[in-house]
This record gives sequence, structure tokens and C-alpha cells, in this order.
Amino acid sequence: MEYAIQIEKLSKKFDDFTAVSSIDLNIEKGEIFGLLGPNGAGKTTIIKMLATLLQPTSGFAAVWHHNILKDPAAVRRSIGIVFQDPSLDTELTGRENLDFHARMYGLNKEERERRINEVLDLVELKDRADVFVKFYSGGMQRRLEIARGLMHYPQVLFLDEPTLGLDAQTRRRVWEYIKRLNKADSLGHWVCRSFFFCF
Amino acid sequence: MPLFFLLFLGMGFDAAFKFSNMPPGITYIAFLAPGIIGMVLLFNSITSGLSVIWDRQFGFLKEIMVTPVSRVSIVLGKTLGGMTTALLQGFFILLIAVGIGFKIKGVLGFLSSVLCMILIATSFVCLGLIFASLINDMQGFHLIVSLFTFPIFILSSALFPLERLPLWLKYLTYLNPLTYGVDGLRYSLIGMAHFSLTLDLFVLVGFCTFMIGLSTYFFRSVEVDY
Repeated sequence: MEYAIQIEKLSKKFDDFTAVSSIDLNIEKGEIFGLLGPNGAGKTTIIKMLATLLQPTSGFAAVWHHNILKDPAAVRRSIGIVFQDPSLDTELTGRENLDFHARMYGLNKEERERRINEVLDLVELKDRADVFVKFYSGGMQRRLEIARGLMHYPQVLFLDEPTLGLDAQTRRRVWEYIKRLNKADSLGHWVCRSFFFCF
Repeated sequence: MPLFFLLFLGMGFDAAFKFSNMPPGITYIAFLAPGIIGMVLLFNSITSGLSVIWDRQFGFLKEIMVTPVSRVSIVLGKTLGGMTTALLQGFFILLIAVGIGFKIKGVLGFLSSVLCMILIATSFVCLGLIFASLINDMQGFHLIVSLFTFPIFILSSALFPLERLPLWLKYLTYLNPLTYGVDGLRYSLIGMAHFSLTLDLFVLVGFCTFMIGLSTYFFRSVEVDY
């Protein structure tokens, strides 16, 4: 199996309403995959199911070879996610948000400090790291969320409308980051292997 | 509010009537103080479930739910946090009670009262978490919480001794876990008890364990909307 994400006949019903109807999808490792559709098409529902936040009604899916139903903890460990709307703690600084996240993933102190600086560099937020998130602009919050999604070396990064509400200029910057992330660096380390987008 | 309860209810009742079955030397305020501590613990613990609803509304809950951290540790983390604030409030009331002349039985009594406080707080934080995982909006949470807290408080022997209650009411209070909590506190602090401390602690530990398990179960089924 060389697929990053495998989906077979995945469905989700909310009472009588069918949000996702029996989709099949395979996404290869290293791929940047974009899922397009009008509002209410069920894109976010698919991401939620893949991220183990929502139980599918029927069907099967695996993320990085981990079954989302049988081994949700392993799935959670191998993914990073940037949500549609902000999920930062605005009463903490950027650095503290990242530190909290890293603790939740069990990174030790040394690794945390190193990794926080790395991802802050990557999204160019280092000079604003110790400012409370409530004073960040929308674009900065987004970048911080992308940085947070990358903290724990995820194999697959989910981004649910990552450019929502951003101006054209910031939008382009976000895309540049993502393209940069999808390349292996000079030492052959991948920042992140696969991307899954929703628009 | 608990302060007013303690001071004015205590002094008022003390002056108005004498409970005929009080042991000699125990004033109503002394009887009431452990009950008010129980009340403070109950109210603060149960409302700490609100933090989950806040997290859900600000979107922070989903950030926590996608991490590989086990659901038990999320529940325990929330519990310890809620317990700490509730406990501080409990100590605060105890301090005030001592300030107005309340006498604690001894060091050992104080220690066992702390144990009771921890157990009461933990149990009811878990109850708050269960409500929070079932209810999504803040108004609903407040409604359900007040629906539960008042009967639990009133029927807990916090305000009056159980000895002379009508039988059906007495049995009702026996079903209430806080009754054992308040009784344990009262025995620890002033040496007066309806049950024995062993039974109180036994019930409290049992209830506490059960609530931690139950809240983990409910928390596991939380699906995060965003």
C-alpha cells in the first residue's frame, strides 16, 4: 500500500440528511490533493471523518495505513490539521499555543523549543511569537495554525479552506509556504508528505 | 453568596431557634459551616464543566480532540483543573468560618476533611463534564445545572440535621452522594456525624470512581462540530 489516504464507500448521514454518500478515493503519498465543491457539498464532513472527529455512518477509510475506526489514536498521531475557522487560544501567545500543542503530542522540552523555532521560521512569525494571539491579524493567525499543524511532523496535513478570509497577497504567501513544505530539503527530510485541501 | 449563606443564615437560625437534637456546645454556625463548604464545592465543581462549552465555542476543543492524547487524560486534566479551583474556594470558606469562631477538631480531622473535599469536588466536576458533553449551548447548561444542583444541595443535610426528617425524605437524602460528603466533612471538622466516616469515605470513593468512568465514557462520544 503506497496510499496516504484510502477511502472506500464512506458515508455520513445526519438523521435523514445524507452529507457524504459512498465516496471512494485513493490519494498517493507525496501528493497535494485538492477537494473542490460548492458550499454544503460535504467536504468538511469528509475531513472531520478522516481526522476522527466524526464517526462515519458506513464505509471505511485509512489514513497513513491506520484505520480511522479501529485505531483513531494512530491516525491522530500521523495527521496535522488546519481547521476552517480559528482554533487558537487567543489568551496565549503564539509561542505558548505551539508549546501547548507540542505537549499534547508528547514532544520533550528540548525538541519542543527547537521545533517551535523551526516552524515559526517557516511561517515567518518569529518576531511576533511572544505577542498574544488576540493581537494577531487574520493572516498571522492562519500562518500560526499552519505552523501548529506541522509541529509534530505529521505525515498528512489537512487544510480546510486555509485561505478563507485572507486577502489575495496573504493567500499567495500561504500557497508559497505549502509548496515549499511539499519538497524534501537538502538533507532529504520531508516537512510533510501529503496534503489534503478543501475549498 | 456562600458567605452570606454562612453568616446570615447561620446567625439568623442560631438566634431564631435551637435545634433540639444538637449535641451540647455545637452552634448552628458550626453545624452549617461544613454544609456550606459542601455547597461551594458542589456549585463550583459542577459549573467548571462550562470550560468545555467555552472551548467548544471558541473552537479550541477540536484542537484538543484531534491530538492523540487519550480521552481519559483529557477528562482527568479537566477534572484536576476544576477540582483545584473548587478546592481553593472551599478552603476560603473554611478560613472565614475559622475567622468567625469555628473550631476544627484537630490536624487529623483537617486532613480527612481535605480528603472529603477532593472527593466531592472531583465527583461533581465529572458530573459537570457529563452535562457539558451532552449540551452544546451555555443557556441549556446553566438550566440543567441549576435543575440538579439545588436539590442536591438542599437534600444533603447541609442546612439541617437528618435525624428527625420524615422517613421518605430521609431516604431521599440517603440517595444523594453529597449527603455523605457533607457528613464526612462535618465529622472531620466538628466530630458530629450521621453515618460513620468509614461509610462516608466508602460511598464517596465509589461515587467518585464511577463518575470519572462515566464522564470518560460520555467524553469519548463527543463529536466536535465546526
